[in-house]
Amino acid sequence: MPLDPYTVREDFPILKRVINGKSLVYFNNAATTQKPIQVVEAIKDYYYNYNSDVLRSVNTLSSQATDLYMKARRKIAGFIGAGEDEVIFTRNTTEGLNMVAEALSGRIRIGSVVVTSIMEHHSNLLPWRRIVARKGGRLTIVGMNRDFTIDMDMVEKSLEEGCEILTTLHISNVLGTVNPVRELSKLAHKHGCLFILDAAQSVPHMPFNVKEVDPDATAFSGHKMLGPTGIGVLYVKRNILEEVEPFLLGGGMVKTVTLETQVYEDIPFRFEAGTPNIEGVIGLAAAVDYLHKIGLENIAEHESKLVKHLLEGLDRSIVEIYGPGEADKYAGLLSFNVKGVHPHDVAQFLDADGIMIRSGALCAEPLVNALGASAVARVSFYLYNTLEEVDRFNESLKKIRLLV
Amino acid sequence: MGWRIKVEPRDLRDLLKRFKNPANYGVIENADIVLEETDYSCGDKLRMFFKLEGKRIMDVKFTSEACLFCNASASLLADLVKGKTVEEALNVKEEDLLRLFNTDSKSPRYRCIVLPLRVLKKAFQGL
Ligand SMILES: Cc1ncc(COP(=O)(O)O)c(C=O)c1O
Repeated sequence: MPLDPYTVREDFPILKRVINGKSLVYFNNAATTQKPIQVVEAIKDYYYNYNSDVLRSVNTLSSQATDLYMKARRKIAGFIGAGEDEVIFTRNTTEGLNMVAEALSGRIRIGSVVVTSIMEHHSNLLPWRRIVARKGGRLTIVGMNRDFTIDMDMVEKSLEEGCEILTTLHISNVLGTVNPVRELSKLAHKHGCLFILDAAQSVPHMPFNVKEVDPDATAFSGHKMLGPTGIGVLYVKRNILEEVEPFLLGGGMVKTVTLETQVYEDIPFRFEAGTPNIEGVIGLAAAVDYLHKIGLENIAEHESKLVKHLLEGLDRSIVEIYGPGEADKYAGLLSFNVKGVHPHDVAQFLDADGIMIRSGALCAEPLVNALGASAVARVSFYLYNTLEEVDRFNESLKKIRLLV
Repeated sequence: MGWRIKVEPRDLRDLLKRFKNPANYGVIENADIVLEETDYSCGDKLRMFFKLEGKRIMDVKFTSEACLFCNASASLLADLVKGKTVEEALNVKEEDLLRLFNTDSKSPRYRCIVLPLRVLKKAFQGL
């Protein structure tokens, strides 16, 4: 059954807000998404009825909290087709990517090559740049094809020259284009290279299974998929997790400690030192339930309808659209500029009509500069957005002609 | 919840008309101080040039890759401090600039508006 955004909206109280005299249109979902009642209630229920430490104490409350926590972990792992011991909880995608880069730094030696792309969010560029600088390795940055996806020929060429790690994003948070991740992982593995994937913009918006995509590690954020802030997921293949050093040492990650030595816990707990973000995990599991109920296929389909509608309504005589320009080439987001008006001023103009968008370099400055801009305006959709809202956006943007 | 600021498209248009080619935009070739700052959150990039005679500010200009509000604020700030002493310039407050835009620190444009003042204060630090 196709998704009915009007029914969905009933679960999101914030969407009833009036801002600047207009009902709120939230088109900044690539930055963070709104939270349904179900997620907020799950967190509330946890604090009202089960709050305790987990995995430590022998008492009823702690056992019940632990049970909730472990069920939530299983659910979240299952959501991406991972084993529950292959999922590490982080704060967000950024922390996940930094953790993998550090964990894999042992593989980088003098002359080692890490391959990434010009499309990356800063969080998948800076950690790798630091590691290769520290270890005397080299970072190769591949460009884009004419369809604004990663240049596969250049990837292949770089891999043939020898490389330890290939890392890219799945869906560009600037362009909305989708990289061919299955081919990328096959190619990487063919050349004996690890494939790391930034899935921040894909896991929330389309069916995603680590068994199919086959990355060696992938990271995403709970807050971009209806979950709370402060909880993210890092998936790492079991065999890699078994071999790398834990990041933080302390409570919760050891089996035994003597004055001389210690034995670390099994994976994944070895990588989760200290009291975890229990409410975050429980909230994210509720978000996963919600997304399951609606269906990721349905969400993807709904968003492409919105993008198509948006593209049809944009006045190309004043708007420059980035990326391929054809609706079916975009996931649920799109960046643009209004000729002669700075994107912040475009954002402010839309804000006066109650429409929230993002403007700036979108934490992907090299890409935005490669597009010939220093900043862009971005619209990004989710399951609760409607065609009517897109109409309101297009109407509002038309008035911007007054400015140019 | 009553956010005070509300910039109407009409206000934006007036602002654009007035600041499309803002006064004081440009380079001072023999400037005594040149300082560039980028606001990490919005990406506005602003470079300011100061010509001094002793402690007196003789001229101020700026170049930028920035939005209307940042440009307008830099232009107004330059007018405000020209002819003043460094000490007087350091006494300009964020509120003084925000007031010119009829807004306050809750404005979505707060960072854009105060960026020029941050550059100025950094430029005059320790003078
Ligand atoms: C592609 C991509 N990677 C990484 C991130 C970083 O996510 P977070 O800020 O949740 O760490 C984002 C979102 O901002 C993103 O869009």
